Amino acid sequence: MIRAAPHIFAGSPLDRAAHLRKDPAALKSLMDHPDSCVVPLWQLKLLVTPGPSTSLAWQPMDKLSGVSTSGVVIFLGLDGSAPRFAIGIEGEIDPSQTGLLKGLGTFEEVRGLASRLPANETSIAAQARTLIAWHDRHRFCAQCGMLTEHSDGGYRRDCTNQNCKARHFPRTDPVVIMMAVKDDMALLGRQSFWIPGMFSTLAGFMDPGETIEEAVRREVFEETGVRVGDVMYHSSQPWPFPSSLMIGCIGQATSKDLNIDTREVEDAAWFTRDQVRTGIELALSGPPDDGSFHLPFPASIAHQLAAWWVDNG
Amino acid sequence: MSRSPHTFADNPLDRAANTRREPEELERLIAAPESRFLPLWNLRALVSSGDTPHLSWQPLSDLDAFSGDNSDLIFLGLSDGEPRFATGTKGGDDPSVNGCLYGHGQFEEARSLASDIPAAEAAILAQARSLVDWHDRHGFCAVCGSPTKLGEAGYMRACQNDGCKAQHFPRTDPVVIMLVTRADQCLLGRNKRFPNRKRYSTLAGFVEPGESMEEAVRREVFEETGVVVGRVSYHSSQPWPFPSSLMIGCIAEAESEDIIIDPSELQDALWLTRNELVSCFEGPDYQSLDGQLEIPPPDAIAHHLIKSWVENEGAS
Repeated sequence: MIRAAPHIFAGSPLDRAAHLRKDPAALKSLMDHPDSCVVPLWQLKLLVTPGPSTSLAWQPMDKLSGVSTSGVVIFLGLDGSAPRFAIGIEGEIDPSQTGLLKGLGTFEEVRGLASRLPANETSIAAQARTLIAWHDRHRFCAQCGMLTEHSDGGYRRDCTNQNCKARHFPRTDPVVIMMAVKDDMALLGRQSFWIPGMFSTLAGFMDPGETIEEAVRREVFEETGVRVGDVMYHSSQPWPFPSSLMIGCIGQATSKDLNIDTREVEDAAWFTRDQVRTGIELALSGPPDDGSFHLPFPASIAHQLAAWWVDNG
Repeated sequence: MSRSPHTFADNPLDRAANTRREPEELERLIAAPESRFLPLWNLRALVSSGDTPHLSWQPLSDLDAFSGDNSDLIFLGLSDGEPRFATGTKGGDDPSVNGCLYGHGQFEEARSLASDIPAAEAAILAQARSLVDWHDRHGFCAVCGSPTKLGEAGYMRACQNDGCKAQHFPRTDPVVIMLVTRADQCLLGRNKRFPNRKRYSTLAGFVEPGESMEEAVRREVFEETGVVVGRVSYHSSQPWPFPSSLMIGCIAEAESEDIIIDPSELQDALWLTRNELVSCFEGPDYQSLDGQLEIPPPDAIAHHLIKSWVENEGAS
């Protein structure tokens, strides 16, 4: 790990206490614990306290009785000795506007919360969102098509078909995200739907049967035609949209000519170290509205990779 | 650019991933006279017999009786411009014994095959096995329960329910595998599932939702042994197609020594010095302590994590 401080969405303060998940009696007593709290999610948004600097709106467990939930109570871990859970609430109407949760906070998107929550709560938000989203999309068995039911404190789903009984586990999708560099210049690309002037590091999902290093070389070549030799791992970041693990790398390019695949990126270009430094400063002061070149917001690993390279690469 | 020391790494194919979404180009590649196809039966790959076995690539004309139509072909990539595909079936009698592939080779398990075939072919085998297995186990939509159908040349399955139309993509499960070190000692564990009672290896575990690699390393080591880890350094990675793991190899610096094993995971864990492990790399059996302890063979990333630490005596 090159970078000492954890990224946004990393650095959870919770002890996941994974050994307790498989023990139904232990889970029951955790839920009954007097200090036990739950954070509700509705449409993958988390309940947070109102205000510009906000925090997760933890509720005592009994507050949720009577609310229509998806039935999955996810054991997030222990905060000291206090159990922490997440629960998904169903329905079309925002439950913070009417009913039992009225006045307790507002439901907000995790991405927008990333820079407003205390850093150690962003990781809890990521964990909760990824798991609830996984349950939402895995109600049926991919092997036989029958219904599944949750188990292991929310970390498993079991097929209810007695002839199948397949067990399914949450998925985490490894993504390589990399800055190719050569001759004191860095290769960055952009998507057509981004705000004008924003460029970021290239990235892509890993393919089956690939090392991290092979994935870095393949993605850079596919998107820009640039060849990469040595690959250096920098740091990693959970990215809960819905379940990526961003694996940040610096790739030493061995060629510079661009052959851009416009189906993958709208544009890609080499930038000098001074240009990247200016692009980082503009991202830090809020994205410019005049379309001038800048990097993504500081919560992204792309920003952190570029910032590291400018000073150390 | 250094080559990976790992089995299943350094795939020589150009995956030509953009072709996956071009149906007409795919049809052309399937029909091209130089195209070759690797049959897998019960996840075993067809290999040629002989002193050095090779993957037994077949022309399309020899596959009709094996896989039926072309709708389940998986595009692996281009080998010097020549298309390579995989196709899998399950059940029934071994097609290489009395069936349609008689005389073309024999079906063998990927794990044992990996160290017998050339390294480049082992990497292709990992890709093919992971994908065929994924299709085998994803015939239905996890969102709505309806049947799914192969798309994007084998890199997607599409729900056939018009009210759902969910797209599903192959999964790769990141696993952290780490050698925990403290001064001149490293920590190895005996997993309770190892059939070989002498086998000790590095600790490992799946990365969980909402966790960085470094957090996963610290959590797994603490859960399994009670040892607290500080600094984590990435070492190398290896695809492990049983069924679809990405092994992320790390060196983890311990900040404590006392071991409290989790008996649901480990039978034993112990600290070993470099001197105690040197003999693992001198004999054919990867053993030390007078044959009392054995580490995994070189097809596993654990072997290389231990080896690079043992050989790197100057480093702490």
